[in-house]
Amino acid sequence: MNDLIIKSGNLVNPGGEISGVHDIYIKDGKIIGIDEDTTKLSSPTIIDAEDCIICPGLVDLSVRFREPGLEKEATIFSESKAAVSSGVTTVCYMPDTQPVIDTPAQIKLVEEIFKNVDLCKVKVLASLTKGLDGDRLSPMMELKEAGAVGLTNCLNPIKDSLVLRRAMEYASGQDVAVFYQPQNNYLANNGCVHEGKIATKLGLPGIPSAAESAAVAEAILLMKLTGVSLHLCRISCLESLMIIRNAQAAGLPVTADVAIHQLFFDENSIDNFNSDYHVMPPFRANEDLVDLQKEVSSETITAICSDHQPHNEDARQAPFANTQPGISSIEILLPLLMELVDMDIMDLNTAIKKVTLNPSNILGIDSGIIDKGSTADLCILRKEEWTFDEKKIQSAGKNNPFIGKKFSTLVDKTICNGKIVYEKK
Amino acid sequence: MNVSENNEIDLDGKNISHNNIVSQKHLRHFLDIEYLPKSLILDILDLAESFAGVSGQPVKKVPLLRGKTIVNLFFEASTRTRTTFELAAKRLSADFLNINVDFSATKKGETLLDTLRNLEAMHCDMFIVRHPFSGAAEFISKNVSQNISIINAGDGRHAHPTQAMLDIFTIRKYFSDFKKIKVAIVGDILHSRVARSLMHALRILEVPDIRVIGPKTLLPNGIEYMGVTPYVDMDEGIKNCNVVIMLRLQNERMDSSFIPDEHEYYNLYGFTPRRQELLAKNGIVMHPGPVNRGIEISSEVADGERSVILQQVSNGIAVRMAILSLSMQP
Repeated sequence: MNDLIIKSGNLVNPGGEISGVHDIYIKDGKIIGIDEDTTKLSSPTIIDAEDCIICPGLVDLSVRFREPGLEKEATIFSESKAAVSSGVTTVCYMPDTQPVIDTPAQIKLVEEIFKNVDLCKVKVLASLTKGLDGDRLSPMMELKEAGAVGLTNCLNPIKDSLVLRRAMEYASGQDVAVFYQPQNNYLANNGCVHEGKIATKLGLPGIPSAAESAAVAEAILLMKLTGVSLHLCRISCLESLMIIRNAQAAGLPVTADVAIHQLFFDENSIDNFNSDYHVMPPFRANEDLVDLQKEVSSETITAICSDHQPHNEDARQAPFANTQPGISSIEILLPLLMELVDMDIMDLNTAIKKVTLNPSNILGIDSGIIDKGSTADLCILRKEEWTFDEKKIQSAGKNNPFIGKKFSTLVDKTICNGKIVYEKK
Repeated sequence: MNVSENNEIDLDGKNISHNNIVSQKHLRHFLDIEYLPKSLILDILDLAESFAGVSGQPVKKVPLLRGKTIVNLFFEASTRTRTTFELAAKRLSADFLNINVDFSATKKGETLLDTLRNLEAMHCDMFIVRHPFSGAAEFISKNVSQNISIINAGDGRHAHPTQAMLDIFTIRKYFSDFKKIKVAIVGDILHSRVARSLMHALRILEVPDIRVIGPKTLLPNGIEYMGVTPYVDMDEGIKNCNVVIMLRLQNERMDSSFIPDEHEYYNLYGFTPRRQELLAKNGIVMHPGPVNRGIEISSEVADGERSVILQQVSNGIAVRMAILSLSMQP
């Protein structure tokens, strides 16, 4: 592995001690010095980062790379390329693969494939219940020992409140975090869009905001009862934010994230049955979008993730309700984030923190910060206008409503474990 | 949306001459009422008027669509709509094919797109589509080749535009000025594609007072954005209305806790002779069928002199002839 010197980049390093313009010295995958070459690097590669922003490599709290089992949709190789092109160096892997990740062997398999691909790093969330069936608890201690950073049931329903309580209770005893995507499936009632004026007009079955916020309230009350470490995934409506804000104010250490696309669209986007906007949870009313944009700077929304879900063309070729939800979004995670900065929705420091330090803390991993001695996971950005072109998409999934959009910032290089894993051509 | 992206029709075009509709003006597809201009809706009604006489002739045919092939592509059961489309097509001299897809290809795992490709390969000119999913007709229209027109015969809960057209055609027989009437739609608004298309049509025709009446479980959220006033109290809702359109209460709704039972529903929303007295003096009663006697409407009213339910069925043929002929590609 070549030693590296990154010269004169402007460090955006929320939570770290160093920021501003500095030189970074990297050896054996570690940052060994800032502005000083402590060990005399041997014939290092020098990167001139003048006028560039340097931030920690991104930590993405939710991705689906479809492997194993759904390789016709995407593979760890294809999606890792997409991830590093957006500055992502660590991804949090969802367990709804085929088979479901509910055994230590499954975790090892995924980690092994990532190691072979050798682009970005993976942290696995294992299934909270066996086979994601929402009924039988998974072997939590074994999964944790095997490397699972937390447990989730994804969007699969948990049979009843008692199962959820016991899962949280048991997880709490094993000191493993629960990542809960709140949705009361009785209230969701097989809906596919937000229950509101557009659903009514188009005659599409709707999911009321209360399907989410009722589940948020229940999870928070059970967190208090069981003492589990709880992270709420993919918040979409203002009522959920209100409940989370109140819980945090009362001293409960609950954290939450939103998917990046939830900060851009509301229910009006699905008018005309455009299935590119079919996501779960659905795009809500405009007042929800406004509230999410307002709150995203606060600690109520702890992190932002891509919620990356690539699909092949077949999954989209059907009437709206029959299409697979989700956006293949990881490779524009950082450009979209910078768009929010340009829109004055967040300041740069806060925006970077939501995709680096905060998700690292949620996962309990040592990452997301630039410091002497830390792992050299870095992203180099520069201001340059570019257009998101369908033909140049790295991901195997072209399901993305942002195709054709102009961005102001691009990722110039991504460095993972001290190695350049992506370079803008 | 209904009109070709190539601007094949002049949106403000009026006085379409019946002889050269096909060569001069036509719709690309007929999917939804929502974006139709008022003038075009009126043109369709006028054209339907001229076709209404065909059924009374000894030879019930005009040669407008001779040599064209029209396919009824029904992914969902239907009797009335399917049959009136078939009659309409045959009276226009088109070759006609009925395909019940639900019982054939898709059961064997063929995707909707593959089914379409196969039918396209048979060189048909028009598909009349009914499908259980909202947005299906729109989806199909985006995925067929240029020379094929799609007529929406009902997609999920979204739209049933030909039914709405025949309903306003029937209304116009009794009330020549849409700007002076009150119309109420009663029953299961939530699941009704007929109601949605009617709300658009009545709004475009500038009906000043459109009401939807039903229990709160069957009145969807945000319905007022469609330009209508919701009522839970039927007596209040139908008072002085000129037109009341009763919707069918589907039996499966009883089992899924939308309403307590038939008896209570009939008490609250059944159209009885007593309620008929609440209408305006010249008020009429409509129903898209099939009628559940004794559940949403009493036999006295359904068969009574204010009922125009059977006229709706007859009018369906002429209105569909107008829509088919306007939508056929030259």
